[in-house]
Amino acid sequence: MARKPGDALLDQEHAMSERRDDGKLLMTRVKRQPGAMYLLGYAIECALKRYIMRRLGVANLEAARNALAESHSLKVNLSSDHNLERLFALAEAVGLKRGDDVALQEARSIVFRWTVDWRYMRRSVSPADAHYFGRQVDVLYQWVNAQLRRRPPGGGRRP
Amino acid sequence: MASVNTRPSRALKSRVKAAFQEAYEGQNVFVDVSSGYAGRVHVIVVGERFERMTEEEKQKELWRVAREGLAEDAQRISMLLAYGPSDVRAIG
Repeated sequence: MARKPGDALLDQEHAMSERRDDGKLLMTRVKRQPGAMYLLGYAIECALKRYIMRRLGVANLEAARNALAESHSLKVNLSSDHNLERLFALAEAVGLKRGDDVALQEARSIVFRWTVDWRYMRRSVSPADAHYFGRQVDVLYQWVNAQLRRRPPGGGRRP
Repeated sequence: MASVNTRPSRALKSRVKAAFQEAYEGQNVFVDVSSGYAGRVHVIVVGERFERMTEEEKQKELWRVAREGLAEDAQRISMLLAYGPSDVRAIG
């Protein structure tokens, strides 16, 4: 079966950094806060999907889905899953450390409220709230990516 | 760690709700606790006191309440959201 465009590990790796850069530019240069927040949240979605694929040692989301079903008895469709909290929990299932410090608690609490529907956001967001969201995205983005440099728990596959 | 789809216990939800209700006693603050993923909970509080706060101020206050009132159980909260009445009216 043909894979959905964007499902490859390399697609997610590219999108996570490009959309994060785009979001930061929108927020800081032209102050388009809702669009910036949508892109920054999307960068986290890509970072989590990338984490899951790298930890499972697979090259696309379909293979990750099969691996999660086989090794963790989890039925998920990663291609269409945009729920950041659920994706974070799936990443935890394959080795992501949650991190219990206050900064990470706060970052998750703010970033997990992101939904893919933010692309339709019509409400205004204050610059202070938008920049705060951006800082929390940074905290979580750096945490997730730093975790790939850790040895996986239980001697699992190295990414 | 709990499985992704594990639901939090009723006892946990009750403890979390009680901690926030106690912290905001007499301030007409509504507290709702619902299920998140992996045995964790979401907390929504609504009250006039949040009306003019930034998101950052809300988060600092809510996490302080959670840590002081719940100790280790604060780790079982995945989302803390606060709204003022005007936010709720805007949602519709």
